[in-house]
Amino acid sequence: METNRSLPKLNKKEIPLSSLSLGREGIITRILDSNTHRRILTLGLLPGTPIKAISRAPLGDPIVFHVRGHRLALRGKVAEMIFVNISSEEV
Amino acid sequence: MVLRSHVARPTRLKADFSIALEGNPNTGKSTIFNALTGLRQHVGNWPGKTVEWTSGICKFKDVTIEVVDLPGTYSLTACSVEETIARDFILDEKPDVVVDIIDASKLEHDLLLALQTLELTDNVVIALNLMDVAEGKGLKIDIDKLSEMLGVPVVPTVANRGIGIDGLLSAVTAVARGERKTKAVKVDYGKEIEGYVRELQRMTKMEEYPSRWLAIKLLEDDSNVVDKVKARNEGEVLWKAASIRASKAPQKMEIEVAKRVYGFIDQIIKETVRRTAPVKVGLTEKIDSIATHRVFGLPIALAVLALIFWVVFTVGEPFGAVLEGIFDWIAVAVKTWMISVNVPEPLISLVVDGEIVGVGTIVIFMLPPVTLMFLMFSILENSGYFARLAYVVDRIMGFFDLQGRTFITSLLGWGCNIPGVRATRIFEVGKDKDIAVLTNPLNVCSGRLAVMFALISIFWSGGTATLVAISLILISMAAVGLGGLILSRFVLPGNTQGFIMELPDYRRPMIRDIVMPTLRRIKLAMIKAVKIGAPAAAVLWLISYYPAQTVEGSYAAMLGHFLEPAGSLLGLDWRMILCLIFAIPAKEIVLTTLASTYGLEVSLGAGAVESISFRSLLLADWAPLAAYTFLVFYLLYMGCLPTLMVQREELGSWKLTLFGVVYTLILAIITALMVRGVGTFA
Repeated sequence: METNRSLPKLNKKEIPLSSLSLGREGIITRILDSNTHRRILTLGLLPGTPIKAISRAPLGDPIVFHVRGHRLALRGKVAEMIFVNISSEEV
Repeated sequence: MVLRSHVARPTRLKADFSIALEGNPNTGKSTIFNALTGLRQHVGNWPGKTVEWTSGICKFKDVTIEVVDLPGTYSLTACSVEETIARDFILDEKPDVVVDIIDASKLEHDLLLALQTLELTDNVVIALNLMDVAEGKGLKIDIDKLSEMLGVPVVPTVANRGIGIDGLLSAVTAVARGERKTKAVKVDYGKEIEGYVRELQRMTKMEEYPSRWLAIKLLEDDSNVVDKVKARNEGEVLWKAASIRASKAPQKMEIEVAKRVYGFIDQIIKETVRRTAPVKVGLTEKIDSIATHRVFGLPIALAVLALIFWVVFTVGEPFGAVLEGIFDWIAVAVKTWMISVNVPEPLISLVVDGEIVGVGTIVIFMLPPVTLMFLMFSILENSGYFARLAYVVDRIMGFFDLQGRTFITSLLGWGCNIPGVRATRIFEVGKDKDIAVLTNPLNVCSGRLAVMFALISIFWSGGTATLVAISLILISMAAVGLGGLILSRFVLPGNTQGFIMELPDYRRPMIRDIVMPTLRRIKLAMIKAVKIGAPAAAVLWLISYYPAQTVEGSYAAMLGHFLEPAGSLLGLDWRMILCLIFAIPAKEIVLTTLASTYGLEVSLGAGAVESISFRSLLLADWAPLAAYTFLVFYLLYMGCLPTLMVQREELGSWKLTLFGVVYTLILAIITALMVRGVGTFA
């Protein structure tokens, strides 16, 4: 089940979405419970969905992501609740 | 022709059948609405509720169609007040057809709303708008296949060029008349969930809602739907749904449902969309690389704001002068006529000095700047820059526990607090919304701004005047931030929501799409303001005329003198206190009352300030520090009465509304004391 962290594969690394470097893509693994998780799910950010970090606002926060063909701005605090897998050589 | 008959609703328009338009923001929904209804638009009311919607009449061949414009939303999951409004309209008002407008160039994104709508009703027509943009992006969409997969008609349109509107109306009419049968597709949620759904469906007796939809929402624990079921005492269904949820891992149901929905969306895209050209870096990305640039982003935002205020106060002024002339003329004409037919003097004074001057002042001060401000807001909103503005300043707002989106409602508040408070419906009911509602009156509306500039021009000039104006505006901005912190940390329970916002594509705004919402907002503001301002003007006139028929000997003066000891702490004399009380119904009225407390013949609007006697009286009577303290207090203490009424509607609680009055009053007192302290010893 996606909500329980499975053992990371050797070449994968799980990081919070807020740490995804700009221009990189990750695959969502799980979403921590918070008062925004329902809204995040509604937007189609599900375990297995690819998501790409695009840019940061002038003061570093929020961050713009491309996901499912739309441009979504998330505050760092929200992005911290979402975890993604990336290939470890990309870290 | 069999049509569902509506229960008589006074606010609904007479028509053969009714349709509701829904769609994501920036999909051209308002373009289609305006194309269908033209200028025949009308703001209606939910029976017994304070939610209003815009509707209009569309004539097509031999039928008359009522068209209701629902708020632009990304989904129907009750994540914001607007989403709840849209969903409840479809469920409760049961329009004959729901038209879902989809941006063809972003089909994947917009299908969510479509699928959620198809769960609510079979009678849906999809308008696939912006077909030209989609083709420009090299997207080929198989429309017949899409229609087959969704089970409802799909009509391609390019609304801003009027293409496809007739086709849309034909499809809508055919569905409304039952000539075209629709069978909305239902997402398959998998064996397990479908089993639960059937079980819950069998248990519920609520016939007014689609039972399948109800069951799914209960499994998702949609609080809005749970409340609906609770209200009907269907405890058994609720208990069953809760026990199913409890037997699963947290989030399991929501994730599974969302996965199935998006899985189906992926399948639709695979089978209906063909890409004939490679993905290019779009115009939006190019604009964003400058508009939200790390270095230029904030200066650009500042420049845009500066431009707005510059336009409002330079372009607006001549219009104010014209309105002033008109009201002056009316006042003189009415007075002359009343004297000629021997109307008793107090009545003349009530009508002319009370009503015409009172209402006239509101209109003169409000109408030009508010109109210009909303016009420019509409341009920003329609172009897509508004969302960027919220994004760019979000971090700063975050320091004060405010949201980037609160910046947008605040900005509207700079035009007029009434639509500013109303716009908080972009939030979910809860803490963020309450904060946005309660801090909105601290934003200096254009009426107060005009008064502020007028008074400043009496006491200061040149660079000093500019500095004074900027300092006052900074104080009000700081008050908004402080208000946010106080409300968030000490008053309202719970957590604020993080910033989650979609950044739509930039679009060139259509003139009609700019003008119509502007007119709507002005109408809302002016009607509320005059409705409350007119009777208030009469009351104020009465208490400042009787018993002695002079201001000095009036009840109002007695009240002012009574409060003077308290006011003297802040350096306010009885006239100033009186003005502040009189300004509660409509804050722009303050100059007029100020003139009348000096026993001057009241004149309209800025005319009061230009009169030499008024200027010299004020200059002789007020020290600059007193004037500054007065302005600080005037800008901060509560919103006007109409704003208070709208706040009450949005908060749904008198207690919170009154708290809003009290805390702004305290803020005003403390700030005024500080200003006086610093000013006396500096």
